[in-house]
Amino acid sequence: MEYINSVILESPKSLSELYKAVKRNPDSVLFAGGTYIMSRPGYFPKKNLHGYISLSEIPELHRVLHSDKYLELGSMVTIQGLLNASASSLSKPIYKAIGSIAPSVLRNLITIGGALCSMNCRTNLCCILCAINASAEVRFITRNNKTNLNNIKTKARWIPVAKLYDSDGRYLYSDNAVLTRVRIPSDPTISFIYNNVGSLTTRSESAVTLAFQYNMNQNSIINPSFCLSFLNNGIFNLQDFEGFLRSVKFPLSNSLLQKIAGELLKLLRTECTNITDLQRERAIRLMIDALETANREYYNL
Amino acid sequence: MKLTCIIDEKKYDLNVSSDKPLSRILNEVIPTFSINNACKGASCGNCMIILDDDYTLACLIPAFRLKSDKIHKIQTYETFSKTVLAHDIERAYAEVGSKPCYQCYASKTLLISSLILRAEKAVEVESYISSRKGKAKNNLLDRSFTSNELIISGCECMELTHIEKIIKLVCEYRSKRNGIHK
Repeated sequence: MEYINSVILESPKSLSELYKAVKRNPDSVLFAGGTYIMSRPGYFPKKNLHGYISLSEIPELHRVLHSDKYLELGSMVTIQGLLNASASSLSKPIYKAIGSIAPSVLRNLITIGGALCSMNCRTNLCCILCAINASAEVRFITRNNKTNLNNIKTKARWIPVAKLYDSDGRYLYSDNAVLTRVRIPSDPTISFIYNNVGSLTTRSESAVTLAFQYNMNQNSIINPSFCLSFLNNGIFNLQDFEGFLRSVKFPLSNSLLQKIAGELLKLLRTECTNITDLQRERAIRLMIDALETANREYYNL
Repeated sequence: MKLTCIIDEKKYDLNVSSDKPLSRILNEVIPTFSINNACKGASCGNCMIILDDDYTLACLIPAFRLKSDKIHKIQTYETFSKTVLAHDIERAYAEVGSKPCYQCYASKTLLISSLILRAEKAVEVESYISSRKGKAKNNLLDRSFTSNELIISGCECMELTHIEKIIKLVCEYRSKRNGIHK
């Protein structure tokens, strides 16, 4: 009977137990919120031979730390948990953008770690975290002492969220590494624009999301940081374009907007080869829309 | 694995595979679950339940999530349909002249009930803030929020404006009755 043949399931109670479990069974799947794993067609009764490691009972991964400069959250904090913790530390548009990622039924289940690490399913959280310069702590489990499970060494590295992925949007640290914490800079005064076209659930192949964070100083933008997400086709934090945006002077005329659009198109053609023509066109429109919003803000200053 | 939980006010001791989705367990334990919910699997949005007072999709909860010292309470549409809130929603369906299709009736009614409870909370917070500021406001949920919440139900059998009217009507019935009934 299928009921009795349970899969291998480990539920470590601390990070050290988790490292041991990963070392013991490196092919096992880390189970965070489970929204991605459980929603795959044929998840059950097909057996995962390598088993699962459930992360829900590790208190370190549920911690929330408030500081003057940043908000630090364990990777098992849910998106709703992030919203509850960040009401006062994030600017209103960022808070609203995070709230629109998924309906509350899913926000209660999707974890930050799961949203950043799942291999084939990206939520818009990655895009928002990239744009607001969040970083993630990845703990690498060293490969020596394979037999001695009592002496496991780990090396922690803080990596900007944008650098967690390759140019095709694939998560880079899936082997022998665990994402444990995420640090989000808190600045309630910063300007933030978030816009998306297409649906994550129904038409992910043509969906585009843009997140753009900036500070307006007199007639120029300082510290622009923007991210374009094409869900499963890639995530792009084009630094060359951010440099170009720094040189732009406000107010923006139509010809200048066209020039910026042309520049972005050039970059998308060379760097984002995985995306479709529709996604490229949508990305440019979203960028122009965001700059027009910034332009209006300039006039209101 | 052995699992003890309360489903629709009845205590069950189950022996299930640890990775088995809760929707499958409910299908076997409650005969009406599959009839009411018409769940097609893979997050179709039709297996909405109330797990320890939180609205969730049963297909996304593996059995091992329910294994803890605490006994979890699961409420399906079967027991929810007997509540005053469910009757209020049905009354509003009739008044607006729009109701969910047979396939998503149970899940959408549960989803609408979650939005109603949220709207009531929002009004409570809003009226508290406005009473301190000396202004009177009675805003329900905004449209973008409601449409974002409804994404979970893949079925588009009802218009957003109708759902908004239903939420508003039920909130009115409940406020007239001057108390919150669950």
